[in-house]
Amino acid sequence: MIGLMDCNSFYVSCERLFRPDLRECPVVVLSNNDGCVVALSREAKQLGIRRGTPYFKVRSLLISCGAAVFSSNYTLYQNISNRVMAVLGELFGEVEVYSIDEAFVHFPLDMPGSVEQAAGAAKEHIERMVGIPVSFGFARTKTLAKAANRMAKQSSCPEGVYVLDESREEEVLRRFPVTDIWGIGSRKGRWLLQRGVVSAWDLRLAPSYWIKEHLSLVTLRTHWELQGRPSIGPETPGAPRKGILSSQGFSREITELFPLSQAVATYAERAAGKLNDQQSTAGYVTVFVRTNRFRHDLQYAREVTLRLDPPTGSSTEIVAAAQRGLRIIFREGYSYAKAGVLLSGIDLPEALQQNLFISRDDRRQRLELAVQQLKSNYGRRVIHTLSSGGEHSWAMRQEYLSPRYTTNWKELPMVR
Amino acid sequence: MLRISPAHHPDLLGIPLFTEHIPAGFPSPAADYEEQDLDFNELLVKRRASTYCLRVSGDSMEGAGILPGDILVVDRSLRPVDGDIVVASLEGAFTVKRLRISSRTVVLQAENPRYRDIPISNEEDFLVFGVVTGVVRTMGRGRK
Repeated sequence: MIGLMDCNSFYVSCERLFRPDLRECPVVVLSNNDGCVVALSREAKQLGIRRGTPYFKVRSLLISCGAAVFSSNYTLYQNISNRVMAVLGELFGEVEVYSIDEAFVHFPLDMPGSVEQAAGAAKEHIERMVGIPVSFGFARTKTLAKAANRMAKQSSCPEGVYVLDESREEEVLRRFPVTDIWGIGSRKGRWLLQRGVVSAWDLRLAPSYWIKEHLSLVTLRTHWELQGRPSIGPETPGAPRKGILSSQGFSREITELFPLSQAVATYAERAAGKLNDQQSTAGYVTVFVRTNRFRHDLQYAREVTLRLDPPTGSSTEIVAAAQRGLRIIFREGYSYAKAGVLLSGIDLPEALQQNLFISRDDRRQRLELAVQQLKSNYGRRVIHTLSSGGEHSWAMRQEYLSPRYTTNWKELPMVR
Repeated sequence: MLRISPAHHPDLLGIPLFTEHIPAGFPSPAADYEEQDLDFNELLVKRRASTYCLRVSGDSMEGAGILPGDILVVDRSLRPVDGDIVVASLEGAFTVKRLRISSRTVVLQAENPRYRDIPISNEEDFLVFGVVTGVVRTMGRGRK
């Protein structure tokens, strides 16, 4: 059987781990730039707040209830996520990490005991080892496991483990809204609803040719998965990413080239850092900028892709290319709200080995190595290209950021 | 004009590997004895995923050699038993104490005569976070 492990209100659980005083009080975590609520505790849900609610709308309610509000602390969440996935791997062998707080596992046939027992024990083990509550859903396919996980999260399932046996599929899928199925977006869901496909069971029974004719191959796979035929393959673990994106909205709008170029350099450097982590090279740099879509003044959005020839992993070369790109697409007279850098044409590590030998400039290579060494020894922020430096007045708004409890000696949790 | 001179390899921080040229025909007599540098993680961290570090702010455990400013290495994978030094959450804050469990009572003991024992009566707001397995202290100019 296939299982989906999901961390319960993951960001909130991470914030609570080192704040025992918040165990019973409402907690919410805000999105980038503190825009809207992205995670909330049960107590916050009971106040009637929903995911995606803009923060300013619930701010006074939260204050009056003594709620704790946090900016997204991705450094902390990623570190805790790595721990959860490591423990999960020890328990189940191979783990397919699907997102920061979700992973697929296979229940090995030679594991003693029932699936319920094993999942229950795994849940307890992860909670004790890492301190984060999780839930498990098991079923015949990934799509069904995802549905089973949703069942595991309901109040009718206090154990936090739900095993969807084949014999129970009809009963569960008949009550499962088609719009809640993994891979069925709201647009596709509406389209299906209009044609009388209301439950997951309806989609399972729908004729395959009809789905093939009117919808995509993706939906056909979902349909098969609902029938119990595994059709969504594993993403090869550890495979190099096809594209690396670094992008962010600004805390205030930018009109001039200089701060915009600073931002683009910072994103380019960040993306190059990720590229270096997987020891790859990129063949293309895409730079994009856009204005605030939600405002009614002059709109502008443009992107440009530059070729890196030969492909490179050098952060200085990538930053330089990104800035060349920016100068091509920058237009005066607009208020920019977002920019980003995408690296693509990413090569495998083996290919890099060869490139190392056709190096054009040995000094540059050595500089790059020294920079990487410095960053890995002293942290990402110890050295940066000149163009990304200086004061970042446009940087993400994070007013309620918690300490980096697990990754910085100066921010450790305190104990009396 | 800003000039950046090439940085050389900080061998201080790397794992020792023989990258130097060895004269042909004369391999180092020590080559067979080469081992990895001492690694403090190996000494202090048994299970990475369940180990957290916390900073001490009080002097209640002075007698056990735990001083203000020390860093505690805490392993959540160990089941706390009588006599363990533990980090526990009590009334909404973390505290480090010696755990005393008998058949009828649970007591948190300080190791400093100025602090009284804390009997645990209200189980609801008491939770052991993890067992203390090490303490790290930097000092003088090495203070972190």
